Amino acid sequence: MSQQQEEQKAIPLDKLTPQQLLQIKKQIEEEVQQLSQSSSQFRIAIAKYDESKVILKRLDQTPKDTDLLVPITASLLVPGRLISPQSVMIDYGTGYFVERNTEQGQHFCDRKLQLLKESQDKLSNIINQKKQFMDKLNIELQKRVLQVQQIQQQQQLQKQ
Amino acid sequence: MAEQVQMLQSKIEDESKHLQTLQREMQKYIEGRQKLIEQSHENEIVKKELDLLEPEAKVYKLIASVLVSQTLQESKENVSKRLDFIGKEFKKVEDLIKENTNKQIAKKTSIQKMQEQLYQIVQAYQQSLNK
Repeated sequence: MSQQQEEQKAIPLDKLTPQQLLQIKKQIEEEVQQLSQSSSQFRIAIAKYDESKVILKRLDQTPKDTDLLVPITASLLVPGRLISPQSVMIDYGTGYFVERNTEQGQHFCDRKLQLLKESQDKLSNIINQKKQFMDKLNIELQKRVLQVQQIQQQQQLQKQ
Repeated sequence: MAEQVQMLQSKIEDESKHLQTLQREMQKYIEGRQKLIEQSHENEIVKKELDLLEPEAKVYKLIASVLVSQTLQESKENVSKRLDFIGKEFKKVEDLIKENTNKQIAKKTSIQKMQEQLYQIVQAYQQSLNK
């Protein structure tokens, strides 16, 4: 797909008709919107992992046998006691869970955060590239509008 | 002439319907391929994490609301097998996509030829009227 787009860029923009330019512009606008949505999903995920890290640190410092309330459903909390503040269960994905201590849990969050941030950066680059391309399209479209105006003006002058 | 025209038109209609079916099929293939890519990514991530674990680590697998204890060895093998399976399915879908693309090209070419034939017949008839 990106190869196709490269080929589209390789065709000099001034060879395309205004309708084609508008079409491509619409397409790129839609793509940028979708990519921006993905970008905000990244932000949310990163925020969640950051929060998890903070919670893990606090959990570490919470003494054993602290009273707490356990959510069974969204509206039902049950009193309980903190038995093992040191161990946490981590969801690794594809149905696998691993029991780790809070420090290993924080390292896990760090690794995930790194992955997320790398992907988010790649995404930002792609979005910027597309926006730059849109700017070029807009400049080209403006040129066409000016050209048409100039031709109309000349025709007016000739009629006089 | 009218008979020829009708025959061609109905053939063109049939081929166009076939083409639409092929396009719908292609849509499904592409969706399936996308899902496989996602699953492959997720399993790769799990594999990398499992590789970081020490042998005594307590691993559990979620089997329908029950966390069942697994050995690290079992889990690693399981994830590897899944990745292999996904790889094979991926190749299958890619082959299907290639086949479908070729079929679509063939259909489009045949539709185009028939449309040209139709055009020529109509042209010839109109010219014979003008004489």
